[in-house]
Amino acid sequence: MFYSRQISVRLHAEHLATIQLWSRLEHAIAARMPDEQLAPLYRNCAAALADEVERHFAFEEKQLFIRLAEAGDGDIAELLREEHETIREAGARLQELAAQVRPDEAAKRELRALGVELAERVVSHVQKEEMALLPAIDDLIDEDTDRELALSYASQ
Amino acid sequence: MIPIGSAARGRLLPVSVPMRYFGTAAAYQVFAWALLLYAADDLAGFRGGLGPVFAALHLVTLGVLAMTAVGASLQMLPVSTRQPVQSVALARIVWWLLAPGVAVFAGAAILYAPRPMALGALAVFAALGLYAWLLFANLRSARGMPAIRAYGWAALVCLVLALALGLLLVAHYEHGLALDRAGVALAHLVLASYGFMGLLALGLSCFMLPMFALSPPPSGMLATASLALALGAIALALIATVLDRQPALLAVACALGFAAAIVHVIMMEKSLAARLRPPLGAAFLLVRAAWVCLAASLAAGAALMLGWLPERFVVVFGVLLVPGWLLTFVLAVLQRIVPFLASVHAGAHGRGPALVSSLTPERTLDVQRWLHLSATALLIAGAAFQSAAGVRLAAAIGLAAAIAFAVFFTTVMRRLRGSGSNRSPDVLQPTN
Repeated sequence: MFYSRQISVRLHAEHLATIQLWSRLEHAIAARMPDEQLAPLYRNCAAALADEVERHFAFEEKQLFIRLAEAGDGDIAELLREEHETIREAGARLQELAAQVRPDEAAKRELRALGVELAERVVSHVQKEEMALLPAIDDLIDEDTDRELALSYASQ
Repeated sequence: MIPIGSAARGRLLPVSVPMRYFGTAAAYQVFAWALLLYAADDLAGFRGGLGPVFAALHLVTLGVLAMTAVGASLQMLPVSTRQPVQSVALARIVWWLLAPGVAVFAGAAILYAPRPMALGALAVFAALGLYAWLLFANLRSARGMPAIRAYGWAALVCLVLALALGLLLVAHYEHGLALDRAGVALAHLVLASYGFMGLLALGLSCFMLPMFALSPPPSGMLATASLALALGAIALALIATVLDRQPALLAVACALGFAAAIVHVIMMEKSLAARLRPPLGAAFLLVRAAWVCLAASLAAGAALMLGWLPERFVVVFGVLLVPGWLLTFVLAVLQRIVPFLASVHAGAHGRGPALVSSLTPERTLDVQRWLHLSATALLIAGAAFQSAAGVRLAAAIGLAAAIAFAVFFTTVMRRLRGSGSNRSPDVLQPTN
C-alpha cells in the first residue's frame, strides 16, 4: 500500500518488518529445522512481541482504534483489538517457552505449534490492518494531527 | 437515497449477507454441471435458444457468477472505497429476488416455457437493478483507490446496458418483439461477461489479490491502461454488433481485449512478484488458469471472426469464457474469501478469533481444484472435437468438483457456527 500520512507510513514499515520476521519463523518450522537452530528465532520473535509489537499495539489501541470507531467502523476496531489480545496471550506463552534453557520434548512441540499459530495470527492481523485500518486513518486525520501522532509515537 | 432500512454500521456486513450469496452460488454450480451432464449431447450444436444448455449457461452466469459478484462486491467494495453499504436490508432483498429468480428462469428455460421464464427474468432484473443502485451509491461517495473506482463505474454501466438488452431478449421470446436476436444476444454476452463480470473481476483483483498475497498494489497507470483497452474493446464490439456484426471490427475488439488482458496479467504478476511472503497459496493456481482462459477466449474470438477457426469453435470460445475464465476466477476468489470472512466473524463471539487455516478444509479444496481444472480442460477438448462422450465426462468431473466446492463451503460454515458455540470449541483445531 502507498500511504500519504507519516503515521500510516511508519506503521506500514513496521508491518513489513513483522511479516518478514514471522515468515522466517514459519518457513523454518515448515522446513523442519532442528530445535537448536529454531531457538534463536523463537527468542527474536518473542522479544519483538514484547517490545516493538507491544508498543505498536498500545499506540493503535490508544490513538487509532478510537478514531476508527468514531468514523463508524467500531466493529473493525473491536475485531482488531480482540486480535491484539489473542496475540498478546499466545505471545506471553511463547516468551515463557522460549526462555526455557533446556525445553523438554513437550515444550518443543508446543513451541512449534505456537510458532505456526502466531505466524498465521500476526500475518492475518497485518493483512486486516493494511486493508482496513491504515487507509481509513489516512483519510480520517489531517496534517496537524498526523504530525502530532507521528511525534507521539516516536517518543514512546 | 432509498429509504429502506439503515446503512451498515461499518464496512463489515453481517456474516449472513455475503455468505447467503456464496452458499447459493455453490448450490447453483452443482445444478449447472448436473444439467450439462444431462444435456451433454446438445452442447456441440448449441448456438443460443432455450433448452437445458441455455439453462445450464444461465445457472452459471446468473446463479454462480452474478450471485458471487453481488455478494463479494457488497462486502469487499466498501472496504476498498471506504464507504459502508447504503442499506443492509436492500442487500438482503437483492438475494431474495435473485436466488428464486434464477431458479424460475432456468427451470422455465429447461421446459421451453417463455412465460414463467419472463417472471424469473423480471425478478433477476429487479435484483440486479437494486444491486446497481447499491453499487452506484457506494461508488458515488467512494474515496481512495481511483483505479478500482473507475473499474466499478465501468462495470456498473455495462450491467445497466446488459440488463436493458436482456429485457429486450425476454420481450422477444415472450411477446415476439422483432429484433436481431443474434446481434442483441451477442451485445448482451459482451456486456454481461467481459463488461460487468469481467471488469468487476479485474477491478477487484487490483485490491483483493495483493491483499491475499501481501504484495504492493499494482501500478495505477497500468490498471488505467488495461481498463482503457478493455473499454475500447467493449465499445468496438458493440459498434460492430450494431453494424450487422462486422467480423473484422469484432476481431479488432478481441485484439484490444487481448491486449487489456495481457496488460492486466503483467501488472498483477509484477505486484505478486513483490509479495512479502513466498507462498502464494494454491488458489492462485486457479487465478492463473483463469487468466490463461481469458486471453485464450479473446484469441479464439478473433480467430473465429477472421475465419481461422471453424464455426464449431464458437462453443470452445464460450467454454473458455464462462467456465474457463469467469467461473475459475470466481472459485479461486471464493476459496480465499469465504474462510477469511468466516474468521473475521468467528472472532465476534468473545473467543480468540479463529485462524483461517482452522476453518479451511484444505484437502477438500485440493480435490476441488484438480477436478475443476480437469473438467474445464476436458470440456474445451470435448467442444473442440464435438465429442459428446468428452463433454459428458467433463460434466461428470465438473459435477464432482462442484460437489467438493459445496462440501468446502458447508464445512467452513459448520466450523464458523462451531466457533460461536460453547458446545463445539474444536473449531480452532486444524482438521480436514
